[in-house]
Amino acid sequence: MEVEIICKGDPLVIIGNIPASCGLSREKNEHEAGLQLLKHGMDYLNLPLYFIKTNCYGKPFFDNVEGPYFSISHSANFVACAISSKEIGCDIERIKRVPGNLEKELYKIQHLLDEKTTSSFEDKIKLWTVYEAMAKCIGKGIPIEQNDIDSYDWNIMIWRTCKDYITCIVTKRD
Amino acid sequence: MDTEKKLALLEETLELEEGDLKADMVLADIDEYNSMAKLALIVLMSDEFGKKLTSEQIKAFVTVQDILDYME
Repeated sequence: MEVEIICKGDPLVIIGNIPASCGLSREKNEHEAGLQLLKHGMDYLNLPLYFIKTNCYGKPFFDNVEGPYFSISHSANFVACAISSKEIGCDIERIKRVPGNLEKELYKIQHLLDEKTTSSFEDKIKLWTVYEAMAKCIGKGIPIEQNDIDSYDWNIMIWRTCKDYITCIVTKRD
Repeated sequence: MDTEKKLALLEETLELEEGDLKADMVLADIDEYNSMAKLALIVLMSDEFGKKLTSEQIKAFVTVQDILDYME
């Protein structure tokens, strides 16, 4: 796996390519690539790979430790992983058309972005990645409740990565 | 609504080409069936069928047919 660190420190954000499946199903292959990238990140931070559990909504977390926190995301050929001392959500998405019926749902978070979202595919995907990363950070799945969005002050970071992908991480501000 | 119409609606929602979906397809094998598609599905069920689809119900869908069956 080829790995690139796009943000050093807290959070650590790394991206890797998903290797050929070698007989594994798509889901299993993505899962394995995510774990491999998480291990790479934990090695980089000189931390062990703690035992992983999932909450009732499917959000993975390290068991029996108060942090670090992590989030993993896949899209097409790439996987992204973010590790932080705070609860974190990460999303990577290839730039493409966003389904039209999501407009109203994504509008819930529009006010959190500094720039107004245009109708371009890239801007719509940026909005989507913020939504998805926020859903992962909250840890209750989708759709996000407006109440959960409004309950926190959010720190949002967005990068254009791997040519035509958008990567976003969100954390709750102190 | 007949199966053809449901499939067309599903294809439109998931940003797929006409004829891309077949009822017996396994969802895990469809590249486009990702979290964005799942949220679009939740919105579709609410807007078009007045149904509140939960994450647990989505997890239980295995094939396209399972979604079609829910579109009543």
